[in-house]
Order: sequence, then C-alpha cells, then structure tokens
Amino acid sequence: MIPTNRLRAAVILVLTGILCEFIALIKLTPATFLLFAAIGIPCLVVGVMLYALDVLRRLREKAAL
Amino acid sequence: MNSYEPIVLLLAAGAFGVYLLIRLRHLVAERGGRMLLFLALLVLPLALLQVGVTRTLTASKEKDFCTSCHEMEVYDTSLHIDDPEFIPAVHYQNRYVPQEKACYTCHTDYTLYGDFRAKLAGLNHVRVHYLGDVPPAGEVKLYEPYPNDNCLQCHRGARRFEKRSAHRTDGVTLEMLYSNQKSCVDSGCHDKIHDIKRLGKAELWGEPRFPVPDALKGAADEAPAAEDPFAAEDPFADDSGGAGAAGKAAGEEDSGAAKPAAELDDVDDLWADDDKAPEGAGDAKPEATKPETTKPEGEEPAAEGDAP
Repeated sequence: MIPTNRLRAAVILVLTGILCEFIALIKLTPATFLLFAAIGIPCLVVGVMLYALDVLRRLREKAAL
Repeated sequence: MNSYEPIVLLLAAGAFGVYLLIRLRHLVAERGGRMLLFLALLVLPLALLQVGVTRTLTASKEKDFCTSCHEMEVYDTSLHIDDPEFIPAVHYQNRYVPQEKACYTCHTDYTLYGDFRAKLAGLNHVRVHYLGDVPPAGEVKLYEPYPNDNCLQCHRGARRFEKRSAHRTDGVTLEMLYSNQKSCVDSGCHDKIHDIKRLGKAELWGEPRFPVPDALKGAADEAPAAEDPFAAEDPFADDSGGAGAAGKAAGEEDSGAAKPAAELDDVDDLWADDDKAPEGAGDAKPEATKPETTKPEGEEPAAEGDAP
C-alpha cells in the first residue's frame, strides 16, 4: 500500500492549520485571529476531510464497505 | 488549562506531523501506522480545532484585543477620563463592567445572535483596518444607534434605576426606556460617552495603556463644549428624594459636580426615599437588585450604588 497524493496533501494541510493556530495562540491580534480563522481553520477542516475521503476510498477498494 | 499548555501541545503536534510526513510510506503499510495516522489526521486536528477556536474566541472578547488596532487606542484611553459624567469611564473605573472585557460587555447586543453579530462586526472592523479607509481617531461611528438593551441588561429592574425621578419625568418613562423609544445615550441624558475630541483636555485617572495623541491635545482647545442639559446634575447622585433633577438646589449641584466619583458614590443612599425600608437596612444593601444575566459570576457589573 502506498500513500496517495491525497494523503500527503492531508498531512500538509493539517500541519499548515496547526501552524496558523500556533501563531494565533502565541500572540492574538486581529491579524493573527484572521489568519487562524481564514486559513488555519479551513486547512484543518479540509485536511481532515481529505484524510477521511482517502480512508473511505481504500475501504471501498477492499470492499469493506 | 494554563496559557502555555496549548502552545506546548501545538509544538508537539507540529513535530509529530513532520514525522508523519517523512514516514508516511512506512506508516500506511503497517496496521499500527494506519492507526497512528487515524489519530494524527482525524482525532488530533479536531481536538486542536476545538482548543484553538475556544481560546481565540475567548481572547477576542478582551479589551486589549479590541484596542490592539491603533485607531482604537484612544477609546481605551477614554476609559480613564476622571469625570463621573463619562458613562464608559465611570463604568470601567468602578468595575461596573469587567475591566478586561469592557468593550465586549457594552458593545455586544444581548440577543440570541448578539455574540455572533459582534463577531461578524469584528471581522468587518479587521477588513476596514487592513483594506478600507480607517476613520481618524474619535470619528469611529456605531453601525446603528446604541440600543437601550445593552444598558438595561444590568439596569433593568434595579431599584435605584427605577426610583430615579429623571427616569420618570420630562417625557421619559420607564416604559419608553424599556421599549427603546427613548434612548439612554442619545436623548441628552447620558450623552457623555467616548468624547474623544475632548480627551486631550481631560484629566485622566490611573495609568492609561496609551498616551493621549498630540493631535487631540491641540484639538481639545478648539472643540466646542457639548450642550448638556444635565451638566450640572451629577448622574450618580441619588435624586430620588422627591426633588427631581430640576429641584436640586444650585449650590448642591455645583458642589456635587465638583466631587470625584468615589465621593459621589459614598454619599449615595439607596434607601433615602424608601418609606418601607426596614430600620437599619441602610447598613445592609441588597446585592441582587438586577435580573440574572448571562455573564459569568464574578464578572457581573456591580449593582448601582455599590461603593467602589
């Protein structure tokens, strides 16, 4: 089993989201709040969704669903 | 949770994420690795999302956050005006509102969606700050007239508020105030709010976080004094003794207006006009003169008449 590009993208997006959250938690200003709200949260959500889609696709391939 | 814990947690999560990226090929090939990916890419991000949203939303209610934009600094300073007629200043200085959440307490509509609307407005403020035309200091306007509900959230039903004769005379009734037909702040009664243009001339209490800009110091001399029909009346003196606002002796008014806020509150007597008050009740002022609010305990504004 090899990792798909979707899985790699999920890891990168989650990491990006965490980084934005990290910056916002270190010093919360309107700019960092916006960074977290506009970039961090979408990255985390999309990353989780990509991972979930990848898992679902693999399960379908194995006829586990 | 201590303030540093989420940061440590996030650092660990970041390092773990890098490890995942490097070892991804090996991880997907093993059962244990796939379980690790499940935790790292589903459980952990959702948990961090919850922590981050909660903490940022909580921190965005604080005064320091609101005044972190340069154009709002003067509003922070205006909370230190040493004049009991300035409504935000007297509420802030006497902790009638939580000092660390002063902006949020008074500028969030107390409705079902008030919090949500405040956040949307805040996002718009950020947009204007970075992309729009920022109004000069002192010319920031509210989107709509200040609703009485924001005042009445604490004052509604308060004994001293309802007893005050000014709230029952001169075409003002409690019903009009409660139904927002008569504005608390725009009707000439409590119209000394953040008077930024006169900030340069005002004396300040305590140690403001930001100094008064030099531009305002010059503007203070040119700014005309606002007409205030109640200027001679101390808004925090108990006028419920039957005389009403207009019935006060001029000498008393003058001496009252010259007193600092702390002294004025000291002479307030909640029971002055209450025939039904039990003897000795003046020594035991009731604490619960207000309805329940949604604010956390301990942060609730002090009841009117509380000595600072």
